[in-house]
Amino acid sequence: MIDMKQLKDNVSNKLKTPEEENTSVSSIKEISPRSNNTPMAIGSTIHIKGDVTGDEDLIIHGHVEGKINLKDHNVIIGKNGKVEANINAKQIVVEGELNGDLNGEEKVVIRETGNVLGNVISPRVTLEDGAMFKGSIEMEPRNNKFSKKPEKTADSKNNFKVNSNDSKAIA
Amino acid sequence: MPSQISPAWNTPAHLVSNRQVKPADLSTEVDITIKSPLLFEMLNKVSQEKKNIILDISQANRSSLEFFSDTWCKLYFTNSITEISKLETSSINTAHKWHRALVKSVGFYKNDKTDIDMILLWGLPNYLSKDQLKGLSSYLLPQCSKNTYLHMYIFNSEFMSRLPANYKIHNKNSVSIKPQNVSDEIVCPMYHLTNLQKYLAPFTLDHSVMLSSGIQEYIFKLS
Repeated sequence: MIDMKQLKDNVSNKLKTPEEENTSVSSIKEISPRSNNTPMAIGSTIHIKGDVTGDEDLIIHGHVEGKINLKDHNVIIGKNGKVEANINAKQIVVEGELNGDLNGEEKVVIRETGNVLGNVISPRVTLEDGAMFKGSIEMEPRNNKFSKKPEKTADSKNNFKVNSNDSKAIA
Repeated sequence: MPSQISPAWNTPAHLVSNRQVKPADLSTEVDITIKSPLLFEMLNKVSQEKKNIILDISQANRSSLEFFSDTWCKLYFTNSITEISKLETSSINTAHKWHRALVKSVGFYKNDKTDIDMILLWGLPNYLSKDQLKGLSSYLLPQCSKNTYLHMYIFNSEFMSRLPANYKIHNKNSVSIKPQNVSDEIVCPMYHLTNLQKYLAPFTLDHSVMLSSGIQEYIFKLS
Protein backbone atom coordinates (compact mmCIF):
# COMPACT_ATOMS: atom_id res chain seq x y z
CA MET A 1 0.00 0.00 0.00
CA ILE A 2 1.33 3.40 -0.92
CA ASP A 3 0.45 6.45 1.13
CA MET A 4 0.08 9.39 -1.20
CA LYS A 5 1.01 12.05 1.32
CA GLN A 6 4.32 10.43 1.97
CA LEU A 7 4.80 9.88 -1.70
CA LYS A 8 4.02 13.49 -2.39
CA ASP A 9 6.84 14.63 -0.13
CA ASN A 10 9.20 12.39 -2.00
CA VAL A 11 8.21 13.29 -5.52
CA SER A 12 6.97 16.85 -5.26
CA ASN A 13 10.17 18.14 -6.76
CA LYS A 14 10.13 15.67 -9.61
CA LEU A 15 10.64 17.20 -12.98
CA LYS A 16 7.58 17.81 -15.08
CA THR A 17 7.62 19.28 -18.51
CA PRO A 18 5.71 22.53 -19.02
CA GLU A 19 3.37 20.60 -21.31
CA GLU A 20 2.57 18.09 -18.60
CA GLU A 21 2.03 20.85 -16.11
CA ASN A 22 -0.38 22.70 -18.38
CA THR A 23 -2.33 19.60 -19.31
CA SER A 24 -2.71 18.55 -15.75
CA VAL A 25 -3.82 21.87 -14.39
CA SER A 26 -6.29 22.53 -17.18
CA SER A 27 -7.76 19.06 -16.87
CA ILE A 28 -8.18 19.22 -13.16
CA LYS A 29 -9.80 22.60 -13.43
CA GLU A 30 -12.27 21.26 -15.91
CA ILE A 31 -13.38 18.42 -13.75
CA SER A 32 -13.00 20.13 -10.41
CA PRO A 33 -13.30 23.88 -10.77
CA ARG A 34 -13.60 24.53 -7.03
CA SER A 35 -10.51 22.64 -6.04
CA ASN A 36 -8.00 24.97 -4.44
CA ASN A 37 -5.41 22.34 -3.66
CA THR A 38 -2.73 21.50 -6.16
CA PRO A 39 -3.28 17.90 -7.14
CA MET A 40 -0.73 15.29 -6.28
CA ALA A 41 1.42 14.40 -9.29
CA ILE A 42 3.28 11.26 -10.15
CA GLY A 43 6.12 12.40 -12.37
CA SER A 44 7.04 10.93 -15.70
CA THR A 45 10.01 8.96 -14.39
CA ILE A 46 8.16 7.42 -11.47
CA HIS A 47 7.06 3.78 -11.68
CA ILE A 48 4.73 2.56 -8.94
CA LYS A 49 3.74 -1.04 -8.32
CA GLY A 50 1.02 -1.52 -5.72
CA ASP A 51 -2.15 0.05 -4.40
CA VAL A 52 -2.57 3.81 -4.40
CA THR A 53 -5.02 5.37 -1.92
CA GLY A 54 -5.41 8.85 -0.45
CA ASP A 55 -7.51 11.93 0.15
CA GLU A 56 -6.56 14.24 -2.68
CA ASP A 57 -6.66 14.51 -6.44
CA LEU A 58 -4.02 12.71 -8.42
CA ILE A 59 -2.34 13.32 -11.77
CA ILE A 60 -0.30 10.54 -13.28
CA HIS A 61 2.47 11.29 -15.75
CA GLY A 62 4.44 8.19 -14.91
CA HIS A 63 3.69 4.48 -14.80
CA VAL A 64 1.38 2.88 -12.24
CA GLU A 65 0.63 -0.82 -11.87
CA GLY A 66 -1.81 -2.14 -9.29
CA LYS A 67 -4.95 -0.44 -8.00
CA ILE A 68 -5.93 3.19 -7.57
CA ASN A 69 -8.62 3.95 -5.07
CA LEU A 70 -9.44 7.63 -4.57
CA LYS A 71 -13.15 7.32 -4.07
CA ASP A 72 -13.85 10.96 -3.20
CA HIS A 73 -11.27 12.52 -5.49
CA ASN A 74 -10.29 12.92 -9.10
CA VAL A 75 -7.72 11.04 -11.10
CA ILE A 76 -6.12 12.24 -14.31
CA ILE A 77 -3.86 10.15 -16.48
CA GLY A 78 -1.72 12.65 -18.37
CA LYS A 79 -0.78 12.30 -22.02
CA ASN A 80 2.41 10.49 -21.19
CA GLY A 81 0.98 8.54 -18.30
CA LYS A 82 0.70 4.78 -18.44
CA VAL A 83 -1.54 2.92 -16.03
CA GLU A 84 -2.16 -0.78 -15.65
CA ALA A 85 -4.65 -0.69 -12.84
CA ASN A 86 -8.29 -0.59 -11.95
CA ILE A 87 -9.29 2.91 -10.92
CA ASN A 88 -12.00 3.87 -8.49
CA ALA A 89 -12.48 7.64 -8.18
CA LYS A 90 -15.04 10.43 -8.26
CA GLN A 91 -14.05 11.72 -11.68
CA ILE A 92 -11.52 10.17 -14.02
CA VAL A 93 -9.89 11.78 -17.05
CA VAL A 94 -7.75 9.69 -19.39
CA GLU A 95 -5.37 11.48 -21.72
CA GLY A 96 -2.76 8.74 -21.78
CA GLU A 97 -2.75 4.95 -21.78
CA LEU A 98 -4.84 2.79 -19.50
CA ASN A 99 -5.21 -0.96 -19.24
CA GLY A 100 -7.79 -1.58 -16.53
CA ASP A 101 -11.33 -0.94 -15.42
CA LEU A 102 -12.67 2.49 -14.57
CA ASN A 103 -15.27 3.14 -11.92
CA GLY A 104 -16.15 6.82 -11.93
CA GLU A 105 -18.61 7.77 -9.21
CA GLU A 106 -19.55 10.93 -11.12
CA LYS A 107 -17.90 10.98 -14.51
CA VAL A 108 -15.35 9.40 -16.82
CA VAL A 109 -13.75 11.34 -19.68
CA ILE A 110 -11.56 9.75 -22.34
CA ARG A 111 -9.76 12.46 -24.27
CA GLU A 112 -8.79 12.24 -27.93
CA THR A 113 -5.25 11.26 -26.95
CA GLY A 114 -6.52 8.56 -24.60
CA ASN A 115 -6.06 4.86 -25.24
CA VAL A 116 -8.16 2.63 -23.00
CA LEU A 117 -8.49 -1.13 -22.82
CA GLY A 118 -10.99 -1.93 -20.11
CA ASN A 119 -14.49 -1.55 -18.82
CA VAL A 120 -16.11 1.68 -17.71
CA ILE A 121 -18.87 2.07 -15.17
CA SER A 122 -20.08 5.60 -14.54
CA PRO A 123 -23.30 7.62 -14.74
CA ARG A 124 -21.62 9.96 -17.25
CA VAL A 125 -19.10 8.91 -19.86
CA THR A 126 -17.52 11.22 -22.42
CA LEU A 127 -15.52 9.83 -25.30
CA GLU A 128 -13.79 12.37 -27.49
CA ASP A 129 -13.44 11.66 -31.20
CA GLY A 130 -10.08 10.14 -31.90
CA ALA A 131 -9.88 8.37 -28.56
CA MET A 132 -9.01 4.69 -28.74
CA PHE A 133 -11.30 2.53 -26.67
CA LYS A 134 -11.81 -1.19 -26.48
CA GLY A 135 -14.06 -2.59 -23.81
CA SER A 136 -17.45 -1.99 -22.34
CA ILE A 137 -19.26 1.10 -21.14
CA GLU A 138 -22.08 0.75 -18.69
CA MET A 139 -24.42 3.65 -18.19
CA GLU A 140 -27.65 4.48 -16.46
CA PRO A 141 -30.38 6.09 -18.57
CA ARG A 142 -30.64 9.87 -18.35
CA ASN A 143 -34.22 9.99 -19.61
CA ASN A 144 -36.77 7.86 -21.35
CA LYS A 145 -36.04 8.70 -24.94
CA PHE A 146 -36.74 5.16 -25.94
CA SER A 147 -40.22 5.15 -24.51
CA LYS A 148 -41.19 7.62 -27.20
CA LYS A 149 -42.31 6.32 -30.54
CA PRO A 150 -39.76 6.95 -33.26
CA GLU A 151 -40.62 9.48 -35.88
CA LYS A 152 -41.65 7.27 -38.72
CA THR A 153 -40.80 8.49 -42.14
CA ALA A 154 -42.96 7.55 -45.06
CA ASP A 155 -40.18 5.25 -46.15
CA SER A 156 -39.92 3.15 -43.09
CA LYS A 157 -43.66 3.14 -42.51
CA ASN A 158 -44.61 1.91 -45.91
CA ASN A 159 -41.72 -0.18 -46.95
CA PHE A 160 -40.76 -2.11 -43.90
CA LYS A 161 -39.95 -5.46 -45.36
CA VAL A 162 -40.25 -8.62 -43.37
CA ASN A 163 -39.81 -10.91 -46.24
CA SER A 164 -36.71 -12.48 -47.49
CA ASN A 165 -35.39 -12.50 -50.99
CA ASP A 166 -36.95 -9.54 -52.62
CA SER A 167 -36.64 -6.18 -51.01
CA LYS A 168 -38.10 -2.84 -51.67
CA ALA A 169 -36.21 0.35 -52.24
CA ILE A 170 -36.81 3.25 -49.98
CA ALA A 171 -36.39 6.85 -50.99
CA MET B 1 -18.85 -15.48 -56.47
CA PRO B 2 -18.77 -14.53 -52.82
CA SER B 3 -16.75 -17.55 -51.78
CA GLN B 4 -13.95 -16.47 -54.05
CA ILE B 5 -13.59 -13.10 -52.45
CA SER B 6 -10.69 -12.73 -50.10
CA PRO B 7 -10.80 -10.33 -47.22
CA ALA B 8 -10.25 -6.87 -48.56
CA TRP B 9 -7.04 -6.17 -46.69
CA ASN B 10 -5.57 -9.28 -48.23
CA THR B 11 -7.06 -8.97 -51.65
CA PRO B 12 -5.24 -10.38 -54.66
CA ALA B 13 -4.10 -7.71 -57.06
CA HIS B 14 -6.39 -8.87 -59.85
CA LEU B 15 -9.41 -7.99 -57.74
CA VAL B 16 -8.26 -4.45 -57.11
CA SER B 17 -9.99 -1.93 -59.27
CA ASN B 18 -8.50 1.33 -60.47
CA ARG B 19 -11.72 2.80 -61.77
CA GLN B 20 -12.69 6.37 -60.97
CA VAL B 21 -14.70 6.70 -57.81
CA LYS B 22 -18.14 8.18 -58.02
CA PRO B 23 -19.29 10.67 -55.43
CA ALA B 24 -22.37 8.76 -54.48
CA ASP B 25 -21.06 5.28 -54.06
CA LEU B 26 -19.48 3.48 -51.15
CA SER B 27 -15.96 3.82 -52.36
CA THR B 28 -15.84 7.55 -51.83
CA GLU B 29 -13.39 8.99 -49.37
CA VAL B 30 -15.84 11.43 -47.85
CA ASP B 31 -18.35 10.73 -45.12
CA ILE B 32 -21.81 9.79 -46.26
CA THR B 33 -24.99 9.61 -44.25
CA ILE B 34 -27.67 7.01 -44.79
CA LYS B 35 -31.08 6.43 -43.38
CA SER B 36 -31.29 3.13 -41.61
CA PRO B 37 -34.89 2.31 -40.72
CA LEU B 38 -34.29 -1.23 -39.53
CA LEU B 39 -31.46 -0.25 -37.24
CA PHE B 40 -33.53 2.39 -35.50
CA GLU B 41 -36.60 0.18 -35.38
CA MET B 42 -34.42 -2.35 -33.62
CA LEU B 43 -32.83 0.20 -31.31
CA ASN B 44 -36.22 1.52 -30.34
CA LYS B 45 -37.07 -1.92 -29.08
CA VAL B 46 -34.43 -1.54 -26.40
CA SER B 47 -36.11 -2.48 -23.19
CA GLN B 48 -36.44 -0.02 -20.35
CA GLU B 49 -37.10 -2.85 -17.98
CA LYS B 50 -33.66 -4.38 -18.01
CA LYS B 51 -30.10 -3.63 -18.90
CA ASN B 52 -29.45 -4.16 -22.59
CA ILE B 53 -26.21 -5.66 -23.80
CA ILE B 54 -25.07 -4.24 -27.12
CA LEU B 55 -22.01 -5.33 -29.07
CA ASP B 56 -20.72 -2.77 -31.56
CA ILE B 57 -17.83 -4.10 -33.62
CA SER B 58 -16.84 -0.68 -34.91
CA GLN B 59 -14.57 1.90 -33.36
CA ALA B 60 -15.95 3.56 -30.24
CA ASN B 61 -17.17 7.04 -31.00
CA ARG B 62 -18.82 9.92 -29.25
CA SER B 63 -22.04 10.11 -31.24
CA SER B 64 -22.93 6.43 -30.82
CA LEU B 65 -22.17 6.70 -27.14
CA GLU B 66 -24.33 9.79 -26.89
CA PHE B 67 -27.17 7.99 -28.63
CA PHE B 68 -27.08 5.11 -26.16
CA SER B 69 -26.59 7.33 -23.13
CA ASP B 70 -30.33 7.73 -22.75
CA THR B 71 -30.94 4.09 -22.21
CA TRP B 72 -29.94 1.48 -19.70
CA CYS B 73 -27.30 -0.52 -21.43
CA LYS B 74 -23.88 -1.99 -21.45
CA LEU B 75 -22.06 -1.21 -24.67
CA TYR B 76 -19.18 -3.31 -25.90
CA PHE B 77 -16.91 -1.62 -28.42
CA THR B 78 -14.55 -4.21 -29.85
CA ASN B 79 -12.91 -2.09 -32.55
CA SER B 80 -12.94 -5.28 -34.58
CA ILE B 81 -12.52 -3.63 -37.95
CA THR B 82 -9.11 -2.38 -36.92
CA GLU B 83 -8.25 -5.61 -35.13
CA ILE B 84 -9.29 -7.88 -37.97
CA SER B 85 -7.42 -5.72 -40.45
CA LYS B 86 -4.25 -6.58 -38.58
CA LEU B 87 -4.79 -10.34 -38.75
CA GLU B 88 -2.72 -12.40 -41.12
CA THR B 89 -5.77 -13.59 -42.95
CA SER B 90 -3.94 -15.59 -45.59
CA SER B 91 -3.20 -18.28 -43.01
CA ILE B 92 -6.70 -18.24 -41.54
CA ASN B 93 -8.35 -20.37 -44.17
CA THR B 94 -10.99 -22.33 -42.29
CA ALA B 95 -14.02 -21.38 -40.22
CA HIS B 96 -12.42 -22.95 -37.16
CA LYS B 97 -9.19 -20.99 -37.52
CA TRP B 98 -11.17 -17.82 -38.07
CA HIS B 99 -13.19 -18.46 -34.93
CA ARG B 100 -9.99 -18.89 -32.93
CA ALA B 101 -8.47 -15.77 -34.45
CA LEU B 102 -11.54 -13.75 -33.53
CA VAL B 103 -11.48 -15.01 -29.96
CA LYS B 104 -7.83 -14.07 -29.69
CA SER B 105 -8.10 -10.64 -31.21
CA VAL B 106 -11.51 -9.36 -30.16
CA GLY B 107 -12.92 -11.94 -27.75
CA PHE B 108 -12.15 -10.22 -24.47
CA TYR B 109 -15.80 -9.71 -23.68
CA LYS B 110 -16.45 -13.43 -23.51
CA ASN B 111 -15.77 -13.30 -19.79
CA ASP B 112 -19.17 -11.72 -19.41
CA LYS B 113 -21.77 -14.47 -19.09
CA THR B 114 -24.79 -12.40 -20.06
CA ASP B 115 -26.36 -12.79 -23.47
CA ILE B 116 -25.99 -10.00 -25.98
CA ASP B 117 -29.23 -8.34 -27.07
CA MET B 118 -27.97 -6.60 -30.19
CA ILE B 119 -24.93 -7.05 -32.38
CA LEU B 120 -24.00 -4.26 -34.78
CA LEU B 121 -21.83 -5.70 -37.55
CA TRP B 122 -22.19 -2.68 -39.84
CA GLY B 123 -20.43 -3.39 -43.17
CA LEU B 124 -17.95 -5.97 -41.94
CA PRO B 125 -19.59 -9.05 -43.55
CA ASN B 126 -18.82 -7.62 -47.00
CA TYR B 127 -15.14 -8.05 -46.20
CA LEU B 128 -15.37 -11.62 -45.00
CA SER B 129 -15.15 -14.81 -47.03
CA LYS B 130 -17.56 -17.71 -46.74
CA ASP B 131 -15.42 -19.44 -44.11
CA GLN B 132 -14.87 -16.23 -42.23
CA LEU B 133 -18.61 -15.61 -42.05
CA LYS B 134 -19.08 -19.12 -40.70
CA GLY B 135 -16.33 -18.48 -38.17
CA LEU B 136 -17.94 -15.21 -37.18
CA SER B 137 -21.29 -16.92 -36.65
CA SER B 138 -19.82 -19.66 -34.47
CA TYR B 139 -17.85 -17.06 -32.54
CA LEU B 140 -20.96 -14.99 -31.79
CA LEU B 141 -23.33 -17.87 -31.15
CA PRO B 142 -22.38 -18.68 -27.52
CA GLN B 143 -23.11 -15.08 -26.57
CA CYS B 144 -26.55 -15.01 -28.16
CA SER B 145 -30.06 -15.91 -27.11
CA LYS B 146 -33.27 -16.31 -29.06
CA ASN B 147 -33.84 -12.59 -28.65
CA THR B 148 -30.50 -11.45 -30.03
CA TYR B 149 -30.62 -9.20 -33.08
CA LEU B 150 -27.81 -9.26 -35.61
CA HIS B 151 -27.68 -6.13 -37.75
CA MET B 152 -25.58 -5.60 -40.90
CA TYR B 153 -25.30 -3.79 -44.21
CA ILE B 154 -24.62 -5.71 -47.41
CA PHE B 155 -23.39 -3.75 -50.42
CA ASN B 156 -24.92 -4.22 -53.84
CA SER B 157 -22.41 -2.16 -55.76
CA GLU B 158 -19.88 -3.83 -58.01
CA PHE B 159 -16.92 -2.34 -56.18
CA MET B 160 -16.20 -1.20 -52.68
CA SER B 161 -13.36 0.45 -50.81
CA ARG B 162 -10.43 -1.85 -50.05
CA LEU B 163 -10.80 -1.34 -46.31
CA PRO B 164 -14.04 -1.37 -44.33
CA ALA B 165 -15.41 1.99 -43.27
CA ASN B 166 -16.16 3.12 -39.75
CA TYR B 167 -19.78 3.65 -38.84
CA LYS B 168 -21.43 5.76 -36.23
CA ILE B 169 -24.95 6.63 -35.28
CA HIS B 170 -25.45 10.15 -36.59
CA ASN B 171 -28.79 10.99 -35.03
CA LYS B 172 -32.01 9.20 -34.26
CA ASN B 173 -32.64 7.99 -37.80
CA SER B 174 -29.38 8.12 -39.71
CA VAL B 175 -25.96 6.59 -39.72
CA SER B 176 -22.77 8.19 -40.98
CA ILE B 177 -20.18 6.15 -42.83
CA LYS B 178 -16.59 7.27 -42.69
CA PRO B 179 -14.43 5.46 -45.23
CA GLN B 180 -10.85 4.73 -44.33
CA ASN B 181 -8.27 6.74 -46.17
CA VAL B 182 -7.69 4.45 -49.14
CA SER B 183 -8.38 5.19 -52.77
CA ASP B 184 -8.22 1.73 -54.31
CA GLU B 185 -11.22 -0.51 -54.61
CA ILE B 186 -11.95 -4.20 -54.68
CA VAL B 187 -14.72 -6.33 -56.09
CA CYS B 188 -17.71 -6.43 -53.79
CA PRO B 189 -19.00 -9.96 -53.02
CA MET B 190 -22.62 -8.78 -53.22
CA TYR B 191 -23.79 -11.54 -50.91
CA HIS B 192 -27.26 -12.78 -51.63
CA LEU B 193 -29.61 -13.57 -48.78
CA THR B 194 -29.52 -17.30 -49.52
CA ASN B 195 -25.76 -17.36 -49.06
CA LEU B 196 -25.85 -15.17 -45.99
CA GLN B 197 -28.34 -17.47 -44.28
CA LYS B 198 -26.20 -20.44 -45.22
CA TYR B 199 -22.96 -18.95 -43.93
CA LEU B 200 -24.42 -17.29 -40.85
CA ALA B 201 -26.58 -20.26 -39.79
CA PRO B 202 -28.24 -20.72 -37.35
CA PHE B 203 -29.00 -17.00 -37.70
CA THR B 204 -31.88 -16.42 -40.09
CA LEU B 205 -33.49 -13.38 -41.64
CA ASP B 206 -35.82 -11.30 -39.55
CA HIS B 207 -36.08 -8.07 -41.57
CA SER B 208 -34.55 -6.72 -44.74
CA VAL B 209 -34.82 -3.49 -46.66
CA MET B 210 -33.01 -1.99 -49.64
CA LEU B 211 -31.77 1.52 -48.98
CA SER B 212 -31.51 4.15 -51.68
CA SER B 213 -27.73 4.17 -51.29
CA GLY B 214 -27.61 0.66 -52.77
CA ILE B 215 -27.07 -0.95 -49.41
CA GLN B 216 -29.22 -3.86 -48.28
CA GLU B 217 -29.96 -3.58 -44.61
CA TYR B 218 -30.49 -6.84 -42.73
CA ILE B 219 -31.54 -7.97 -39.33
CA PHE B 220 -30.98 -11.61 -38.45
CA LYS B 221 -32.12 -13.56 -35.43
CA LEU B 222 -31.57 -17.07 -34.19
CA SER B 223 -34.05 -19.50 -35.67
